[in-house]
Amino acid sequence: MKCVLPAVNVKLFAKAVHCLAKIGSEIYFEPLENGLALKTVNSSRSAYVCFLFHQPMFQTYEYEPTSSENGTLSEDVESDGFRCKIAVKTMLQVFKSLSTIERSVESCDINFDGENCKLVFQLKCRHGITKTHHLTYQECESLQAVFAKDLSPNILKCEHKLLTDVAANFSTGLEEISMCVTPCQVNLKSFVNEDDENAKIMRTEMTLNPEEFSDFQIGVDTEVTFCLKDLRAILAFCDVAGTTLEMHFEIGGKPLIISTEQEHYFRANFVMATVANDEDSISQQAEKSNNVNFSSNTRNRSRTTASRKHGSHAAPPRKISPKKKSSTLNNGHRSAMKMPVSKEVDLTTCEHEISPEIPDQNQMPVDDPEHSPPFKRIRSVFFEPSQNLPDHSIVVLAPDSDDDMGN
Amino acid sequence: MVLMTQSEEENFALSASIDNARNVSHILKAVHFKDTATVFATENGLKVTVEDSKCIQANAFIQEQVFQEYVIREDSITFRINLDILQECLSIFGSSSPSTTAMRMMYNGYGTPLVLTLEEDGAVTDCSIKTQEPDQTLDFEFSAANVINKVIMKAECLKEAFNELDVTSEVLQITMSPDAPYFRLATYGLLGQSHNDIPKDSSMVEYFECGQTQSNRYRLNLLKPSVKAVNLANKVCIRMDHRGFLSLQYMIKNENAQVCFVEYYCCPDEEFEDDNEPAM
Repeated sequence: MKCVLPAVNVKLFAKAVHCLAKIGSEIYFEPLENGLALKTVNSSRSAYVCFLFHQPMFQTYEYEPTSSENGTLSEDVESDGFRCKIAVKTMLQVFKSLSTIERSVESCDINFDGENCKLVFQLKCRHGITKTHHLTYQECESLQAVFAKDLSPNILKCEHKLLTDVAANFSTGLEEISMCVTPCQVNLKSFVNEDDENAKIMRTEMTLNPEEFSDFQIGVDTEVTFCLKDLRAILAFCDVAGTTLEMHFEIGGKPLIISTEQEHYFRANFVMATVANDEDSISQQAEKSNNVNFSSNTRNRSRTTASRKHGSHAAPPRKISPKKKSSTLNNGHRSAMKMPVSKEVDLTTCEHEISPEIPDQNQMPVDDPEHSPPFKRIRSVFFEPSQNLPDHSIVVLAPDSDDDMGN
Repeated sequence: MVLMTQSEEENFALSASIDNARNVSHILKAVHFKDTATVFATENGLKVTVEDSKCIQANAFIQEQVFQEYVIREDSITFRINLDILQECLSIFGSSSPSTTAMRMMYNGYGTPLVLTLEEDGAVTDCSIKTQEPDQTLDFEFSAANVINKVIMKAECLKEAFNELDVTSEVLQITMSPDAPYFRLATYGLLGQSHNDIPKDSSMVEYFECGQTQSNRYRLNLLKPSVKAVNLANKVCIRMDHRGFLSLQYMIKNENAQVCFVEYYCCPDEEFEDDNEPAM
């Protein structure tokens, strides 16, 4: 695999690397026939990013599906090319300073050095200076999230500037944000953990009119809560890319997908898990679906089960005091999103949920020894490696068991 | 900006005054990587030396022309002083204000403290810093005659290179050669191997003379302090002698556009194959 990025695109590539660095700890490097894919997933598997840089981005792009350079790798993989993952710190070493890159880099060569098992990045800079980096990598399976963008009933399309301005209004330490949509308006507010009775928390709320969006389709009135920090990382990339954003989402508990693209050049998909609401009025179904995707070790789920049994909670969940369940309260859940999905998230459990449809409530496990905050659950994004490479693939297979699952 | 003059007769061994103390503190910043320094004063000016691990030495030269007044009554004066304190005193009025601090420095010989009087906008401060017994400083025996390879380049490209060095690498390998890659900085870190090549025909290179290919490794943590100097410099001269000893000379301009030099000497890491003793 061999390609050359011209000066104008190196900055975009570097910015993509920075965005990936903010989310995950490893960057999956996947050369494909139509371009180069860079992906990552965060440790709790609640955020997934995939950048696909198409061939026109590159000055030259050579791709060999059955590469002789792969050696043993090609025997395991069904000749669909070289794949590796690189530690984020390693990639950042190459693309450390964006201002320097913008100022002085004239081209970036990416080569795979089969002999020494290194991925070679060579930045040719002004004044004849050359910076070469031979990076160590790990072989891996393809990383592919399960999501169906096209099936989302809610679609919002806007300029990145809109969301950047919105995000700027929220305090920088805020972890999560809730977005409540109706056909008349979009309401964004800071999501605060009710367990935390700290009165010092500043809550912010903003409302946007449908006119602010270039495309506004709301099929299901809903409230979704997702990680603001991840959103900021995404917006930082879009700022450099200068493209419009599309948000696809359904209900709390279903993944929220932000995608941005420049036709023929690149496409980026950011999939974020959203917190399931416990509102009986809105997301009863969502609750059911999500529970199945978790192992019993996830603390969240247990709370929900308990709460459902009580049946005394009216919407909206946030305002209900958790004190009723004081015996099982557990502090420190500032960010439901960031709670690590336990390592025991079965691959087998995941495999059942191949389709994005909502499974039966009966499948919800009853045993929940752990404590968890009452009305929150992490919706995990399903990760299964795919042997089909298109982004919208729904059917996927089990991940590589050798692969250290996100930890 | 009136300087306080001493009422008694001035018979100090060393007496110097300068209108802008930043011209001194700015240069000292480039060598400030340890808390003590040895000051050598001669009729030509001041030399401030800082050393570490007996492997690296930095010298800052502040020639007497930089001072408005410079009187020395002995042939040479040497003392050791705490550089942290000296820098703090020089910037006692704050280093970023537009107005300048005038400074007078007085030293009365062996055993006496270094007395500084600083004045800015009518406020006056007196500082008295204890001096210490000077230690023997290293003599790297680096002479121009033994220089095999020499490159003079603009500081920017070296700035970028030094600031982007892989910190997980223990060594920095510097290769200077009459053939490609001409000038290369290489690191071997946990993340992989990186190198930065600057060809001899680059517009950043002003002078390039390399007699033979030399490639030596230097401890990165010892060279790290020289990054301070490169960030302040306009030009850098890199020389390697027949033993592989490295000399980095930085040309730094102060606020009055006067040029001062800062020099770093570093000895290379020796391979353990032949000798039993490292070049320490």
